[in-house]
Amino acid sequence: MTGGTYDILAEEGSTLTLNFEYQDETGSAVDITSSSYIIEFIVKRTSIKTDNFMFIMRSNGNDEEGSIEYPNTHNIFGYITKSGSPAGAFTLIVNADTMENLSLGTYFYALRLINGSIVTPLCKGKISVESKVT
Amino acid sequence: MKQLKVTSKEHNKIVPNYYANKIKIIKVKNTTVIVK
Repeated sequence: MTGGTYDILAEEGSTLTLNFEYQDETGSAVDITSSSYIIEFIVKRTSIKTDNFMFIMRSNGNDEEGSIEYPNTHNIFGYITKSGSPAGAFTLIVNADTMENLSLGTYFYALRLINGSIVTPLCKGKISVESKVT
Repeated sequence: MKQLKVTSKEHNKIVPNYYANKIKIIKVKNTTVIVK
């Protein structure tokens, strides 16, 4: 399984909200509502494997909010929620404070679905953070 | 005697809907059948 590619354009100081739906070819939702499914969002400065993470967000397995797990600093906030309706839907939010504190430029991200030892790449790409108009 | 070789590969297709602010991740299975 290979993940798709999707580049994200974001603005400094604005909440980044991304709504996803995971479906099969027939348009039916892929059911990820089970607590064994965890969604992980990794953001790095480069796509190099050994590069340090900017941050990692994870859903907590059920339909409650997950949170940013690394780095655990006061200025990094965001979460991933599984709405459960439809069964493949989830929302990723990076709070405005975090977007304010990210340096302008381009980052690399990967979105993955984890079920025990099985890791499924969902999508990956670049996040370009542009300057806000003040 | 002819043989069939069937291979299947999955990938995800991304379909953004900017109007609805929604990104669909569609699991696509490509199946190839080769007759030898």
